[in-house]
Amino acid sequence: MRCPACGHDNIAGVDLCESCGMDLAGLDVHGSSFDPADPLLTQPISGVALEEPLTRPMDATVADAVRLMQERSEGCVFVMDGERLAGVLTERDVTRVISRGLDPTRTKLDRAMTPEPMRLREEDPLAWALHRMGVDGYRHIPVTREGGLRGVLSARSVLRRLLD
Amino acid sequence: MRDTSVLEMGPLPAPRLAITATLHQALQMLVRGRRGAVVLIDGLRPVGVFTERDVVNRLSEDLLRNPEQRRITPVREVMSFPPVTIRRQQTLAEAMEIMVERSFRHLVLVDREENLRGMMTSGDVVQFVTDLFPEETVNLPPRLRQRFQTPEGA
Repeated sequence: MRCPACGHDNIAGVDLCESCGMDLAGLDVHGSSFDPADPLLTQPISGVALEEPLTRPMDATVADAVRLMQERSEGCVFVMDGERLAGVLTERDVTRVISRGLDPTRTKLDRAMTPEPMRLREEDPLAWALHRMGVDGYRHIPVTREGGLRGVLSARSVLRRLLD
Repeated sequence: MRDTSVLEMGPLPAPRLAITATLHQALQMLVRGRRGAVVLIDGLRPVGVFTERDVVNRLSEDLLRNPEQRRITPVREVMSFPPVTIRRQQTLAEAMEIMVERSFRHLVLVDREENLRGMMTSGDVVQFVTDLFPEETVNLPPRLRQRFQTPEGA
């Protein structure tokens, strides 16, 4: 590897530069384990089509959110505390409310939502989203820009991107 | 991915209920099964699917609000049918295309006799792809272009 200090071309894996003695240990440790030029790694989330997030305030009812999901054919509604993202109501949360015998017209979103959903920034790599979806089973990940909610990354758009 | 068959994805369990089940029973199974859908069967044959999305889209206001009504309503009245099926010998890419193009999150797996053998969800696909690229998706450094300046422990 080339020494970053003097430019001497050393053999791969040496700890010290043969020419100037600079410590080269660890500088190439990742060289063989992954390629940062892999498109799956480097592509930021913003390179995938994000969906427009549906939002409702915390004191709206589950029935209200269900109507919105029906009208817009979306699988989740983000629950806002003012400008802040406080939670998410998914089809699974709706199913849980109904199966417990709660009345969705009387149940407020802050009681039914999954609070503080994991979020990613739009400049984060797509691989991170894939990881969270695969390991944690999320189908929708809120994506932020400068702290504000920018859009939703769905498992479906990730699958579509992988098929391309 | 193009050559991977559905069989290679390992066990893909399908929570199931007889077609005679009530909506109430199907809802309990949906929550317990944690697969997002329940397959309704007549003998070994899958005849319908009831999904979390159906809870949101297909239940009337009365069914959403009234637990008693859910105990006497057969799930067949609100299920999606016929189920979208795929043979276990088909490829993962074929399954993904059906999911993406037709917006289905659940595919019922059948054998040559059309008997139920499992269910594939979009989550299963994402999980499988994640496992195909473990280095990329599980082992990511905090920043992609980050290079550690010292070996571990130094």
